[in-house]
Amino acid sequence: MLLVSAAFLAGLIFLGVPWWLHRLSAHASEPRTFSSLFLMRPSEAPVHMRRKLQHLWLLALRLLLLSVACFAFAQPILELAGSADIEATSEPDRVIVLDTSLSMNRSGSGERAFSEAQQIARELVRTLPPGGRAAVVTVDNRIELNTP
Amino acid sequence: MTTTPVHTLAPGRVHQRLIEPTVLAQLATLELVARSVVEGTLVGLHRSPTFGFSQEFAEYRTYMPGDDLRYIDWNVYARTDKTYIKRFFGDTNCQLMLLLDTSASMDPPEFPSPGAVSKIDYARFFSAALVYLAARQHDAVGLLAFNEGIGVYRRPVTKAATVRTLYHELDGLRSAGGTDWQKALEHVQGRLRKKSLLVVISDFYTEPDDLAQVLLGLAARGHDLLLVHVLDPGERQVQLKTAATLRDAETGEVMEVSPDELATDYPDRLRNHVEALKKLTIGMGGHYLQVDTDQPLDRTLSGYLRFRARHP
Repeated sequence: MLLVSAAFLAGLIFLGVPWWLHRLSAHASEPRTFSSLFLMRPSEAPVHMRRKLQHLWLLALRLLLLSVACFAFAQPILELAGSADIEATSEPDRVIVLDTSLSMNRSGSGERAFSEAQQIARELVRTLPPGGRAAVVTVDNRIELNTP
Repeated sequence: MTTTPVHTLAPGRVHQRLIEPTVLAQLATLELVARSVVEGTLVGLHRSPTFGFSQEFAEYRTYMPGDDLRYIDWNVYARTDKTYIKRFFGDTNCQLMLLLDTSASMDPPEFPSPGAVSKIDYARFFSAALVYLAARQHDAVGLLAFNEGIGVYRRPVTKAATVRTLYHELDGLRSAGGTDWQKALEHVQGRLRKKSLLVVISDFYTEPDDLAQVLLGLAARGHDLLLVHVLDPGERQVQLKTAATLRDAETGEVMEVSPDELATDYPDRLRNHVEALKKLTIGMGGHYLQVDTDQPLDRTLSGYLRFRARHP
C-alpha cells in the first residue's frame, strides 16, 4: 500500500484530544444534591476510574473516526492484482505516437516532415532490444493503434 | 381522591384510607387539606368525649387573655360583670406549639420520590391538620418555623381568626438554609409560660446528643414532647447503580459514595440514628413518631391522637 499524502498521518497526534477530554469530563461530573450527608460515609475506592468506564465505547468510537479520517486524507493506494508482472520486466515497451495529419506534408530541410518522422520511428523499432515490444499510434482526426 | 385498600384499626370497625399525600397536594387550600385529614381520620375512630366530638356544655372557667371571645357567656357577664368561658365535653384545655423545620434538607432537588410529596409539604399538611384539630377542641395553638434562624413565630392562641392565619403562615413557608436547633428551642423555651405540648416536625439530621441538650431543658419545665421524624422513601433506601458524588443540601459539602456502601452500611446507620432519637424522646417522657412522605396522613394523625390519649 502506498500513501500519496503521508503527512496527514501526523494528525494521529490529535488522538490525544478526545482521550484528554474524556478524562476531563470524568472529574467534572455534576454532584447530585442529597438532603444531608450526615449519615453518609465517603467511598474508600477512587470513583473516577469507574466513571471513565461508562464512556469507553464513546471514546473508542471517537478515536476510530479520527483515525479513519487521517488515513483517508493520506490517500492510500492499494496494489492491483498482476501488477507485479509489469515491474518484473526490465525493458520498457515503446509506444510511438505518429502525427499523420496533413500538416506533416510541409517541407523541412529538403524532405517532408512526415518522411523524417517515419525514419525516426523505423530507427526506434530497429533498435528495440531482444524481447522488447513496440506499438505505433497514428494521430490525425482519428487515433489508431497499430500493432503487429 | 383515590381510595386505598380497606384497613381495620379498631375491633368491629372498618377504617378506609382515603387521604394520600399526593392527592392532598392537589387541594386548593391548606385549610381544606386540614379538614380532609382530620375528618377523614376521625371517621372510624371510637367517639371519645376527650377529643371534642361532642359540643355538650360541661362547665365554666374564668376568661384568660387569648381565649376566643365567641365562647364568652354574655348572659353570665350581664348578670355578674364577670367574664366566663364555656367549656364543652371534649375541650382539653391544652396548649399546642408546633415547631416546624424549614431548612434546605426538607425540600432538596431530585426529591420527592415518586408517589410521595416533599418533606416540607408533608410537614405543612400535618401541621395544618393539627391546627384544625386544636381549633376543633378549643385548644390554643401556636407556630414556630425555623431553619438557621427564626422564620415565623406565632404564640399559642384560641381565637378563631388568629388560628386561621396559621394556615396562611404555613402556606408561605419555604425550605432554605441550615438548621440551628439551639436557637429555635431556646426561642420557644423563653416564651412558653404554660405547660404545652411541643410537636417538633423535622428530618432530624443532627446528632441526638446535641438535640438532647436543648430538649431536656424543655422537658424539665414540664412540656410534653412529640418528635415527628419525616423522611422521604428515597432517603431510607438510596439506590445508586454506580458510584456518585453527592452534595449536602444545607452545607454544600461534597462526598463521593459507592453503591455498595449505600446498600449495606447506610441502612444500618439510619436505623441506629432512628433508635437513638426514639430512645432520647422516650427517656424524656415524650413520644417519637417516624413517618414517610408517601404515608397517608390519617395514619400519622392517628399516631398523634394515640399520644394525646396518654397526655390529655
